[in-house]
Amino acid sequence: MIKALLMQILKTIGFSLIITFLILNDAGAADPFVEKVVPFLKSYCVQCHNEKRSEGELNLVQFSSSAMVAEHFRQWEHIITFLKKEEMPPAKSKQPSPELRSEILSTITNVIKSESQKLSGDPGIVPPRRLTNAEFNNSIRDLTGVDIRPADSFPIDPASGEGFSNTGEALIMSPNLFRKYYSAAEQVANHAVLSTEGLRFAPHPVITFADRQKFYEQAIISFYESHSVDLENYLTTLWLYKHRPETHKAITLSDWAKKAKLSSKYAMILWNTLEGKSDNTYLIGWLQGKWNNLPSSKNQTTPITNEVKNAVKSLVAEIQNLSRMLTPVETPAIVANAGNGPIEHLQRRRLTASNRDAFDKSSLSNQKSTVEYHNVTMQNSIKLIIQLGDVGTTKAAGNVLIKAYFSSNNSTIDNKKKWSLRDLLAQHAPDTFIKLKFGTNSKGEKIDQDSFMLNAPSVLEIDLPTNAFPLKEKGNVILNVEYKFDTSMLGIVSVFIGDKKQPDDSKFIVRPLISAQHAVAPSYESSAEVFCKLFPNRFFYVDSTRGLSAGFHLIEGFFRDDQPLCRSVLEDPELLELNNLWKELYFVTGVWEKMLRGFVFFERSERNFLKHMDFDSFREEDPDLIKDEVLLRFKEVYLKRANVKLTGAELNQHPISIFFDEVRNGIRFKETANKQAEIIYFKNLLTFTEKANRRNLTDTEKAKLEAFFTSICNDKTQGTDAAVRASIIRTLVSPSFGMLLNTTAVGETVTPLSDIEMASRISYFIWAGPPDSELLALAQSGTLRSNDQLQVQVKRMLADPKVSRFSQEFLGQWLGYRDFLTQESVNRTVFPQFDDKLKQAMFEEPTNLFTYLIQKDKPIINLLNSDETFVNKKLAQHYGLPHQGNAEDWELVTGLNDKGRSGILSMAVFLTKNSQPQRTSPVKRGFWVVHKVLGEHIPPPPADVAVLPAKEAESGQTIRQLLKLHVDDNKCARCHQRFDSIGLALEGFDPIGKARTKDLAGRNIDNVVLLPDGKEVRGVPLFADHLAKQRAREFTQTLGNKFLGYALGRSLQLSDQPLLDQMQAKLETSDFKMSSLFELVVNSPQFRTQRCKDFSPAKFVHSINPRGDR
Amino acid sequence: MSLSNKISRRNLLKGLGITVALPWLESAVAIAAAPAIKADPQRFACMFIGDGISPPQWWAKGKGAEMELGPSLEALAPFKDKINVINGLFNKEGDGGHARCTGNILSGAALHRGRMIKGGISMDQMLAKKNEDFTPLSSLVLGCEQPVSGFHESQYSMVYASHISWQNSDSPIPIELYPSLAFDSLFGGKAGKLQGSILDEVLQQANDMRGKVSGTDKLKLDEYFSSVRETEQRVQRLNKLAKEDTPVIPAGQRPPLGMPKDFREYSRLMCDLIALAFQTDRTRIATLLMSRDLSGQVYPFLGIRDDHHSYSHSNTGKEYQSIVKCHIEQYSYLIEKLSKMQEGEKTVLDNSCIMFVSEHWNAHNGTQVPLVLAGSLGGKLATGRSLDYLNAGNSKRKLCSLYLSLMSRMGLELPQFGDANEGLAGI
Repeated sequence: MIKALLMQILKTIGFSLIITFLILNDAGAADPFVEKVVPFLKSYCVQCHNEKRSEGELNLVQFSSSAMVAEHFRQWEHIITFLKKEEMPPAKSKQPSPELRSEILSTITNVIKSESQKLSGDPGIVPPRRLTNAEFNNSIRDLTGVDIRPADSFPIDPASGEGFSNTGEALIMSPNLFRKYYSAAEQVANHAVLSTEGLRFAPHPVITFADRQKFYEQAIISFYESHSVDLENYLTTLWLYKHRPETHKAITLSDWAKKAKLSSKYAMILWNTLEGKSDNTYLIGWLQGKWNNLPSSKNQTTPITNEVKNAVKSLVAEIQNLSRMLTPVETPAIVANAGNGPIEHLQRRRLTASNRDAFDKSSLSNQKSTVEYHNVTMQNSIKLIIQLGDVGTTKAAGNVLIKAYFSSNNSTIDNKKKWSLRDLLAQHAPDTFIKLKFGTNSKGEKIDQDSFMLNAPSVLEIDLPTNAFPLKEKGNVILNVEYKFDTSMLGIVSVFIGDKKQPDDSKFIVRPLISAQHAVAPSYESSAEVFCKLFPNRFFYVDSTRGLSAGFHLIEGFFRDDQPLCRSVLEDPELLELNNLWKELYFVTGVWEKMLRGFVFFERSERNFLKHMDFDSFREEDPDLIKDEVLLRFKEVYLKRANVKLTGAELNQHPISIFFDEVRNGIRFKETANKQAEIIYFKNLLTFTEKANRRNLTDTEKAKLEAFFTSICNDKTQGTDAAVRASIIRTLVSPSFGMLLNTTAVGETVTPLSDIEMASRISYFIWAGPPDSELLALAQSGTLRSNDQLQVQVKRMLADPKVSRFSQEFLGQWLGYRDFLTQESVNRTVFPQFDDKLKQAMFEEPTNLFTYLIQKDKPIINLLNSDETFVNKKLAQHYGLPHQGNAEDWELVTGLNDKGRSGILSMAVFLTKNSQPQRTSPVKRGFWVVHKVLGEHIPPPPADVAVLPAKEAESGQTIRQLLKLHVDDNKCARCHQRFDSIGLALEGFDPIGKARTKDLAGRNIDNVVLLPDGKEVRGVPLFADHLAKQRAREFTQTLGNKFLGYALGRSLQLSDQPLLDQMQAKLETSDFKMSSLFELVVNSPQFRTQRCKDFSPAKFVHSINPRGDR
Repeated sequence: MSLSNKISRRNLLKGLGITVALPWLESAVAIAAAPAIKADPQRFACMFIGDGISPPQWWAKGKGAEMELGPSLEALAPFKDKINVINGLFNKEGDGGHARCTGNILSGAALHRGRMIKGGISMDQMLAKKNEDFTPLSSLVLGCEQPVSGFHESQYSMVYASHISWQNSDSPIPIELYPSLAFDSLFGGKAGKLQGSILDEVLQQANDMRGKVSGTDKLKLDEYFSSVRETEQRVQRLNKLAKEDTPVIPAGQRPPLGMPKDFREYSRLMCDLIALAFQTDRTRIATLLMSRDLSGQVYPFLGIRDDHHSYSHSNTGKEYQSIVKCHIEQYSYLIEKLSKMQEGEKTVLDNSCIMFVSEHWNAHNGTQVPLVLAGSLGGKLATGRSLDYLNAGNSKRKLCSLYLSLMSRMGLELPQFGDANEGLAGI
């Protein structure tokens, strides 16, 4: 604007005069302002514009030099306008001759021009300032790695300068705000996790036990989830490996498994067993047989067929079924009742946990089996077949005792749900009943009356009429059979129980009944051990509601149940990671002490065990309870009262001993780890503080921090945790973190910013956040300030995703959408589709497009007429554009013009923000375009303006007809003719920016704009094109002014004009690339220097090398 | 209204059961002002007993001096005209076993099952938040019994059973169990000391920096500097008061270290602290968990050996009755203490509302809660009444409606709280 005005004036005066003036000035001749203008003012102006009677708030007496004119150049621009339009002096006053008027005008213009050259490059006054709220949040995020956003509760930052909040004059600090800073610091400190290995930050507060637990418990559970064993996946991968094409023959199994994101350790064990030749008996033989019988590869291009998939699936089902039967039965992990003694409960869980992949030998001699009969009422009889056969090549032998009953879950006429086989046979098959001799064994001895004996090998077939089961309606019955050897003799037999004869006898070898002393028993057992190791009943256990809880009643505690995973699946580094997570869970929650105190309460109050007087000195609330000697005594008394009389190793293995020893060790571990961690915490705090201060600490500062930290650590009422959190607060409420402030050099001219100061300046400019480690390292080594390095860094920083913060701050404030989320004028009952998600999407769109244009270095003029934009699912639906990916993903789409949209003009956020709750506002929309986007200065409307109706439907006239009133009224027309018609171009979009062809009263939309050249265009794309072609300069000049104001964090001054001119030229020659603006501004003396303490314009030397040292 | 985040920030220290607001300028002004022209502050305290009361013994009839009190409430006889005995109130989400009621006795919130803790902000903390600018401490959260955690068979965490004050839906406020530490926090104790030293350090840093910047720049830094200094001076002043201002601050009254073994002694120390805090306007909000839900508290001085919860299953027996009476005696002790603290024409009791409540009524049954109020909130609450809402219908006997009414009379107007969106009729 400044430039446009000057150019206009210069054109009228001619150029020669300037040179004359410049020469005079440089020669130190008299000030032309004093010489010519001051007498003029005295004759024609100061009668009204003096210190007493300053009409129009203008006091002209105060101006005594060209320098003062420069200082108030904006005011003088207005004076020039008034003089030129001959609005001043007012008509009734004494008038200067046209020649004099012209001469004075050119003198003033030249004074301004020459002044702008004189101080060109002056950094101006950039006062120290606190961080803006956005910068505060970004700084905390970069510092902690989590997005805590503590500044969201701060009051909104005021804006000044060129309309941005990062301007020092406006950013004040007050006791009230400081209080919020303190609270914000506390909030951040509450997120600190104090692990044994150091300080880190959680996404949630970590103060209470539940918070602390949550952090590591979630980490452990997600570790388990990401390492869970999916057998189908493993077998498929191994199958693919077996049938891999020739071209892949060289690849190792380990690499193959890794590529499939599987544990190579487990894949190897599995492969070796499936393909192994040494042990091929019983279960492993069966497994290998199944493996080898899987369909082979037929087609190299799509090797996995459904046939293979199904075969693998059914094999996995068989394996899992066998695994359940061969491993010990699980004890319940959660026993939630008052009878659940913690020590016994832990012991049960320990046994289960350590035997998940062990073979349960008892399953050899004593087995159970069930057969389900479906819809029995649909048939007359059911068949029950018991086959006692050979086991592989070993002939069957021995007497098997069998006990069986039927049961049903369906309702019966007599409410009976269980029928013994004995009773059924006695009633419905008396012959068989007699033959089976229930209740006697081979020697004629009496046994359980429901059992009968079968001699192996043999086959028993029984038909039972279904009317034996008086089911009310149709239903199922289940046959439950238990069988074992008659103890007197050695036996081996495969048992099959079913409703038809078993055709395939391969299964018989997997689960035979074998006497423990039988010669083949060891051979079967070893195959079962290998099998169970490979296929445990679970690799780990996490309770679905209580997570890693030990499952006590009313007591806090964790139980780790993951031995098969650790033994067979995890590689060493993974195991280490998991162990660490568990260690931290114990440490950070301090669960041992918690569990101990809960234990004392529970054993006394619920189990009554501690109600004996011997325990009177062990109290839940006693702080000394965790002392070693107290715990030792507690253990002794407990063992005594529990009547444990063991000694030595046996005593140590007793669950009571294990419990107390674990608790003691846990508590001691916590204490020692705490002590060791203090040293690490201090180191972490040093790093944290240096990052927060954006510079290295001096030795004195380090010593002070150490003294502070140590004194709180050693204070018995505070301790380590309090010391760490207090130190974090201390760092975050310090002005070294909260303020951007450069030390001021002595002198009267300007001085370059130091490397360290430059690092912060550039990063708060491009990232609206603190410098990263690379910037800081360059700064510390003193090499950041070289021209080349700055260029390299600008390039790097623009490529970083953090540049979107610049987009949001800069564009958001310039175009006025940054507060869109916190303010709302939409009537959601009229526009129910306008929800929080859509609002958020609207808000992010311009930032995304702008960031994209910057990062791809596309012409910035595209903002006006881009045919592409970014949408997520929500916004795509709103615009009627395609969207492929996840709903939250932002995708680049083209084809805006086809939808009647173009660039920012049709972005929903602006259309919505510049609407009324229940109607569009062409006035607001048009004003936004000419004022915000094109930078026209438009004075505020007079007080007595008419109000348009609140709803489109309320008025009998179209909006165009209503707006015509503006142009008819002269007072309004001056301004409104500049933007009303532009607003009408946007009428094709409703108050929330949705495309429409009819307004809310059902009238057709009229979105024709009459351009200055007399042409008419219809709708946004054509109009945007007109703007991009005809008014590009106004747009880029506005952009330039705003950009420089944001970069420098101050109002523009006259001496910035040469740089603004350069920026404009550079934009026009670089195809409007934003990178050229960034490079130019970062390299400019304004950006790289600051005024010295006693700066005087007279002493200003603008040729100072900004790279030079002070 | 999302108070939750803001409040959680106050909670700086692990295990410190007191939320500490920074002492601000406003309170400096309040303290400096002569007591006579200062409006009398309104206070709220809640005393909680776990596992219910003994119903046959718990009743009240009539009003004023003619009020008749059941045996459980005998200890309140001297204060008949100062109390309201309110029967029949209902906490909808609190009608459940041990682990899903206590945690919402002051919030009415539905509690979340399983390992994720979720309840709701409690009404004392709503009031604390409202008053935080006026007193050094926003609230005192005290307890006479260690919290338990772990799980109940209903899959609810026992965290709920041990905490009545909740700063947000995820976190209860850690309970202060040590009377001496509570005293320190009230009267220039550890939190104040810590703040003081943080601010002192920051002040030094700011001062060091002032030397390095020029005149105009100094102004900006001075703004920061004076903001820190004002805060710091306030902390210093409080710390100093704790030591020197003997007429107000009973320096010799610091309770002994540790936790007393005798429940009566323990709870009286806690009541003394609440009374002192109210009298000196250190805080206006307090809660005291005398016994938690599923309480393991023992009362050997009553001649009974088993613990609190064991007796509650036969809560009509004489043992349980003696336990309830003992709790009411503690309540009466606090009322008496406050009634003797003169505040202008009135007493501290008159300007307060002291609530006694339990989560259960009869044998683990939450269909109504036993509740007594004492004090008239500076005339905003009529007293000397026995009220019974039992037959008013569930929508007209909401515990949360009472809370809405109480908060409203303390200047906190909310459209809705817990399950209630209107105040309690007739209160």
